[in-house]
Amino acid sequence: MPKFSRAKVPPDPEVLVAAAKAVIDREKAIPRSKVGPPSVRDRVLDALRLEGFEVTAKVVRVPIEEQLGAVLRDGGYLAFNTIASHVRGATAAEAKQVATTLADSGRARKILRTATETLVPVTEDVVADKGLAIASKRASDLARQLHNAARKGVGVLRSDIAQALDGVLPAPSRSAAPHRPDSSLELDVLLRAVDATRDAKVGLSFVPKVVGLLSADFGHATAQKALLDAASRGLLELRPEGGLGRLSEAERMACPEGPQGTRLSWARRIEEQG
Amino acid sequence: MSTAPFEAIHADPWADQIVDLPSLNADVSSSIEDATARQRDVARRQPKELRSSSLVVVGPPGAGKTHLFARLRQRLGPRAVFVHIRPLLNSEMTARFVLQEIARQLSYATMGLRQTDALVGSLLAHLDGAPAQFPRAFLDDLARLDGPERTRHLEDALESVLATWQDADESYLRRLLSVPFDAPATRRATMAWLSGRECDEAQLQRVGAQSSLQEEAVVPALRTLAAVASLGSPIVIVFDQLENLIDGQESRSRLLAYGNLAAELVDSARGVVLVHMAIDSEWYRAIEPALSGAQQSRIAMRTKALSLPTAHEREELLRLWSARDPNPKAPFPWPFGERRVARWCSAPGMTPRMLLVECRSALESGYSDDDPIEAEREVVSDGVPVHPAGAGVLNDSLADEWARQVESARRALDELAGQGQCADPARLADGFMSAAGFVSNLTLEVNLRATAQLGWGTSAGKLRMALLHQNHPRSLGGTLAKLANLAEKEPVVALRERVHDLPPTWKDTLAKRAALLAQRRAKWVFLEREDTARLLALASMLTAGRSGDITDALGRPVPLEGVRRWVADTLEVATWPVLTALTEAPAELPDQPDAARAGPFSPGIALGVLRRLRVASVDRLIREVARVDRAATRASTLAELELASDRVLWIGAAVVCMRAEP
Repeated sequence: MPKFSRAKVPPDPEVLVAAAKAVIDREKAIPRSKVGPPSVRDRVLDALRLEGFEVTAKVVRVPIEEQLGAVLRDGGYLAFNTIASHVRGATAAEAKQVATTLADSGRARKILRTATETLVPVTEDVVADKGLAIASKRASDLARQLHNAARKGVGVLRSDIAQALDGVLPAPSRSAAPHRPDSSLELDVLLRAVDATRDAKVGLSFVPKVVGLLSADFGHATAQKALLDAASRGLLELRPEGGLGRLSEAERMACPEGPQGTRLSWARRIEEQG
Repeated sequence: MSTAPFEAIHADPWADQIVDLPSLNADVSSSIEDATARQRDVARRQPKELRSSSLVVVGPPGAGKTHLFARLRQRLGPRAVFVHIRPLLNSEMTARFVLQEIARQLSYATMGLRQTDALVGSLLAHLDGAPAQFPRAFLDDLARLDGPERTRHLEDALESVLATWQDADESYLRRLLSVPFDAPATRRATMAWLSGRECDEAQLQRVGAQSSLQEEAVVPALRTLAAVASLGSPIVIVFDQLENLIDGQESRSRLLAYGNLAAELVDSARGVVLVHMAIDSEWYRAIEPALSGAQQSRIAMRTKALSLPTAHEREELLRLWSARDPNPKAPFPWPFGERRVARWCSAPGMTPRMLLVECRSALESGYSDDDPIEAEREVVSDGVPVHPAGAGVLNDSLADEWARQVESARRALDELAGQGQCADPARLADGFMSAAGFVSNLTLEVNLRATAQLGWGTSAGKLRMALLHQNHPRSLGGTLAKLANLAEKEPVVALRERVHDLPPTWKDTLAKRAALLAQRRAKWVFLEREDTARLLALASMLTAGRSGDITDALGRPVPLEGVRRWVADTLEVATWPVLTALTEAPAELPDQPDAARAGPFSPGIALGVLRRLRVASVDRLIREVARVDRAATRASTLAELELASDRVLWIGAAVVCMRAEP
C-alpha cells in the first residue's frame, strides 16, 4: 500500500501565543520548548516578551517581581530560605535577588524572624533602626537585672518583669496605622524616612526608597510634595539623576521632577554638610 | 551683557583662570588638600610608614567634579603634581598607561611652572634643606652652578633618596632628576623614556639608555615617582568619568581591571593620592557593586558626595559670573533680573552647570525676567532633547562638539609628533572600537597584549590588525616578524601612521616588512593624520556623551543615544578609508609599500612621497618612490614631476620640493 506524506499545516503563532498565555496564567511559567515548534518558537517568544513576560534560557514566566508582589499584597510573609517555593520558573538565587531588590527599593521590608530572614509587606509594623537599638538595650537591661537576681539568689516580682517586657518595644510607628493615604505628611516623618534610607558612607538617600517608605501611608504625590517643601526650606538637598538609564519606570515616577527635565533621585540632609 | 562668559559650560581641567566659589564643596577640596599635605609630612618624618591615600568623589553631571581638579591645581600650585586621567572607552587601563599619562602631564604647567620642575625642584630643595615651596628658584640656583658641581648635587640627592627607599629605581630616578637641566631635545627624549613609551634610536642615544622601559620596570617606575614626589610635591592622580568603565553588556572586565589597577597603585605607589570621580548613580548602582571587597576597601577609603550650591551659594556664583562683564550697565542682579535670580536660587536640584546654562539661555533669549523660559523646552518621546527651533539646532551643537573634539585630537597628535611618538595604541584601539559600532558588517575584539591587537570580523571573514606604534627599528622588526608568522595562518593588516613611515635607513626592518607583505594574507595600511584624529575624536566624543558632558544649545545633556544617532547620521563612519580598507582586497590598496604585489606603476605616488619628504634630492625621491612602488622608474617619477610642475618647485637640477599650498 503506497504511503502518502501528510501535508504539514504551518502552526499559527497567534494561537500558540494564546495557548502559552493560558498556561502561564494558570502555572505562572511554561518551558520554552512547550511554547511551540522550533520553526515559530522565536516569534512566539518575542510576542510573549512584548506581553511583559520574562523569557529566560529555559522558561517563559510571569516576572518574579510580580509573583512575589502578589504574595506580599495578600499579606504573605516570604522566608528567604524557602522563597523559591513561592515563585514558578525561577531559581532560588533569582528569587532571592529580586526579593532583595524589592527590599532595597522600599517596596517591601526585610526582617529577621527567629534566625530566618523574611520579606514582609511594607505596611507591616516593623521595629527597625533606632527602635531596634532601643528595644535591644531595654531587653538587655532586663536580662542583666534577672541575671543579677539569680546570682544573688533573690526573686523578682512577676508584675515588674511583665511591666519591663511591655516597655521593651517602642511605641508603634505610623506605618502600623490602617492603610489609608494621608494628605498631610509631617516634616519629622519625612526626615525619619530620609534617615532610614541613608547610605552611611556619603549621607545620600535614594529618593524612590524614601517615597517607597512613605507612599503606603501618604501616597506618592504627598511624599514628593513633602520632599520638595523640605528642599525649598533648605532642610534637604535634592539631586538630579545622572545615571545612564539606571532608573526603572517605577523609580523614575517616584522621583520629583527637577530643572531642565531631570528627575531628582537623591536626597541629603543639609545640616550634615561641612 | 554678552553671552561669552557663559559659552564654556564644561570645566577645563587645565584652565589657567577659573571662576571659583571657595565655600562650595570646601570640605571635599580640604580632604584632598589634607591628604596631599599628610603624604608630604609622612614622607619627610616617617618615610617607612608612607602609604597611599584614596578617595571617591561622586556627584551628578555638572556638579563640579572637573572644576574641583582645576581648583585644586590653582590652590596647591607647585605643592602637588596633578594628573587627570579619563578611562579608555573600550580597553582596559594598565599600569603602563597610567605611567604614560603621568609623564605626559608632567610637561603641563600650572601658573607658569612645569610640573616636572615643581616635582624635581621641590624634592631637591627639601633634600638640600631649602624651602620646598619655591622650586623654580632652587632649580635656577642649581642651573647657575657649573656642570660637575650640579652633578655632585644631583648625585647627593640620588643617594639620599636611595638611602631612604632602597627599592627606588636608580636609573629612572637619575634621569628624572636631570630633566629640568636638559636641553629641549634631550628633555623630550628623557620624558619619552620616563613615560615608558618606546623610544627611537636617537632618543635612546640622547638618554644614554640601551632600550626603552621594559614591562617589568613599569611598576618600580611608578613606585619611584610616587615616593620621591611625596617629599615635595605629592602626585594626585584623578581618575575622572569612571562611568565610562561600565560596559553595555553584562561584562565587568573593564571595571575589574580598573579595580585591580587602582588596588595595585594603592599597594605599590606609596605616597600617591588617588581620587576617583564618577556620577553618583553610576557609582552606587554599577561601579561599586562590581568591585571586590578588597578593591572597595582600597579605592573607597573615603567617599565624598559633591554638594549642590545652596540658595546663597547660587546667588554668590551668579554675582561672580556677572562680575566678569567689564562694563556693567547696572548693579547685580543685572543682567538677569531679580525675579529670575530668585527663581534660580530656589529651584531644587540646580547644579552649577544648570545655572550657567540658565544664564546663557536668559541672555540669549533677551526675555524679561518674568517670562517662563522653561515652558519653551520640549523633550521628544525617545528622550532626546530638541531645541524649540528644531532638531537642526541640536545637530549644530553636536557638530560644534565634533569640531572641538577633532581639533583637540589634532593638537594631541601634533604634541606626540613633536616628541617623535606614535598615537597611543590603547587610545587608537578605543577609536576603532567606537567606530566599529557604526559599521553594520564589522565586529571587533581588542587585546592590547597581542601582537595584532585588533581582531576584526568582516563579511569576508576574520582578520587581525596590528597597530604598529613602535619607534625602534628592532622592536618594530620583531613585531613584523611575528606578524609574518601570523599571516601564514590568517589574514593580517599592519597599520602604521603615515607620518611615522619607516625611514630608508631601517634596512633590516624594511626587509622584514617586505617579508611580511610577501605573504598572501598580509597587507599594509597607512593611517592618515586626519583618520587618526577622527578615530580619537570619536572615542572622546562618546566618552563625553556617556558622562553627560555633551549638551544641546540650551545646555541640557544630550543622551548618549542621541550622540550615537547623530554620529550614525552625519559622520558616515563606514566610509572612513581606514575602515573600507579592511574589506578591500590587498591589490586594491593604494598604500602597499611593497611592490611585490603591486600592479603597474601608480601615478600620484611621487607627489605623495615628495609631500612627506617636503624637500629632497631627485635621487632620494626616486629611491623612496621605488620603495613604495617597485614598478616606478626614474623616468616615470620624473615624468610625474614634470606633469605636476605647478605644484613642484625645482631648486637647481638636483633638488625638488613641494610648492606652498595656495
